[in-house]
Amino acid sequence: MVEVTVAVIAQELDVHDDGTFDILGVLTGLRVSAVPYEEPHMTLFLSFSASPAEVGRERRVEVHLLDADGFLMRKSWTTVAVPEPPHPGSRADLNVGFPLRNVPFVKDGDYSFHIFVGDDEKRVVPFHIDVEKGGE
Amino acid sequence: MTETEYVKAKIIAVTVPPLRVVPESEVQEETFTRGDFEGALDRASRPLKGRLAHVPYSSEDFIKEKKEEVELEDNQP
Repeated sequence: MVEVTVAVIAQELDVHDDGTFDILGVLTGLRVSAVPYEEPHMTLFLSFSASPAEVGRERRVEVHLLDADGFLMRKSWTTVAVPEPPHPGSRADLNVGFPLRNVPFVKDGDYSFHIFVGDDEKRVVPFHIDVEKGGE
Repeated sequence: MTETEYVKAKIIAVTVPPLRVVPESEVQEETFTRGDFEGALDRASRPLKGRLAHVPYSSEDFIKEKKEEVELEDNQP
């Protein structure tokens, strides 16, 4: 079974030559001058942990953006392959930077990013949009 | 309770699970509007309306139907 152990939205991922990386600008919302607002670029950072039995299998990862009323605003998906574990028989971990481009926020209020692996919802990341009064 | 004796050691390397930054070209997406959903809801409710077409849609329709039934009964010999 593939589990999502970490899910955060960040402004950027800074990857180093030695394979380490920094998650920069973790955020849970935006204050904008007006809506509808489209955020050009954010990164959804995900850590997956899979059982040894799933090594080599491809899994569809879907990210659903829902508004406060539960309406699906955006559905994005890709596939990831479960890598070899560091030791035979141990769980296989994988970090993924999932790009979120031109994310539509049509009004202020609560939103949520729902992360699915296959058909199963694994994680929900809440997000909030505030409109700055007099921000225009 | 025994006191643990730690040895002096240094970190040689850190263990980091592989990172895959998914290229934009490998992400597919669909964007929806509230209109899409309201349209989908309307399409879903249409068969229901067809099946239950005999059910009055509003209380006014119901009252009207009942009045007609009473009038029919009154006019019977």
